[in-house]
Amino acid sequence: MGQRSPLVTLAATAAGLVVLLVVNSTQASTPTSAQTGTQAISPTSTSPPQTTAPPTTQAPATTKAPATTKPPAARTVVYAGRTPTREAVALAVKGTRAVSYVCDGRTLEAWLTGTVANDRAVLRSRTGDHLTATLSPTAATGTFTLNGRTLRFTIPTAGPPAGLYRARNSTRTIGWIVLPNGQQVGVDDDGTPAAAPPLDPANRTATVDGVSVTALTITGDETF
Amino acid sequence: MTTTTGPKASTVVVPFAAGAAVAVALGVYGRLHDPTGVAIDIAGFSSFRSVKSWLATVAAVLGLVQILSAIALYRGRPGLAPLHRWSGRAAVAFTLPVVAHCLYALGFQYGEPRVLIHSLLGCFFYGAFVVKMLSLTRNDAPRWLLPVAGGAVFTGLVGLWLTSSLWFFTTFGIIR
Repeated sequence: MGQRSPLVTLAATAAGLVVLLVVNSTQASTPTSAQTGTQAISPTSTSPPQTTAPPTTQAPATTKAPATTKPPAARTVVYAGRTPTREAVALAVKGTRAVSYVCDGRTLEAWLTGTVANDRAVLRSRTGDHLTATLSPTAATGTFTLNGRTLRFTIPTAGPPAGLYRARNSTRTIGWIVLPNGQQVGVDDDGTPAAAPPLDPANRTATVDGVSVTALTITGDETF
Repeated sequence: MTTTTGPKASTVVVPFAAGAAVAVALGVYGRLHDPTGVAIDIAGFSSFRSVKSWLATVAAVLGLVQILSAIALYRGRPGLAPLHRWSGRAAVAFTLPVVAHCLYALGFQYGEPRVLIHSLLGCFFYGAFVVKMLSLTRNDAPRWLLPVAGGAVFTGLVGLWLTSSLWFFTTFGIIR
């Protein structure tokens, strides 16, 4: 048949799809675009300032590592990153307690809590998933289980606004991992898990189903 | 397959390669892009999922017009060619807001069988559409290419409708 009009149709279809995806991204990206270029001020009320040494140690203020004297210090550090298969993992450590959140940004997630001793973290979730990691001043390396699979990770430390956030109201619990590169990965669980809406990390709010929710910065000693 | 006067192998290979590339690209985008879960509200509809279900239904009805007009064209009613072309363009246009939302807000999912099949068919449908369009541009394409490509597009569209709109209407009722 040798016609040109099918090529025109193809081009118009591709252009239409790109336009719609761009429109979608302007709907979704207003909070996230703020993180990519600027250093947002971290919420000061609940997050431990990570550059100030906890009062119980003599560690230098600029590092997050335990000092060479190694007292059982209230080390406060958050790690966040991805597995090779792109699940997101965040691990918040405060002293001898830790909280972790793992999610695929779609429907799978797990909240884990546990303990830290000798640079080794061991955490469990209420649903039977577990996570173990070895902590260093710059990264956490370990494995976790999710939905029957065992996944390995090596994730770097993450300073604010990157980190782990959790919002909870009477109908839903939402977890967000904000990665060091500014990307957000999260799951909104109101009975049917789904991708989380964008979080504004400057004031830790998000809007879901028309309702505004405020997230807490997870530091590692929470219980749930 | 290669003869001096018949179609060259590239007449078939190029459309299929382009279609496969498009299908794979859509799947990779859906898998790598972090879904946002965001949807816009459209007045008069209960949720964007219902908007998509209705848009997909319109596209499926136009798909039926496509099949019937294609049969008529093959049986010697060339006057129906504009109907076939424009109903086809309209059908694809109606799918674009749906796939834009599916890809951007939900991503390529494989948690349940229905969703996995839908994700795979979504990639397949647009790949087949590319094959169909490109197979129209060559005078020397083999005679089977056009009906096979058209049939694949129709099958993909029906499968997509069954795994989404039909599920939506049987789960929530035929609502707006």
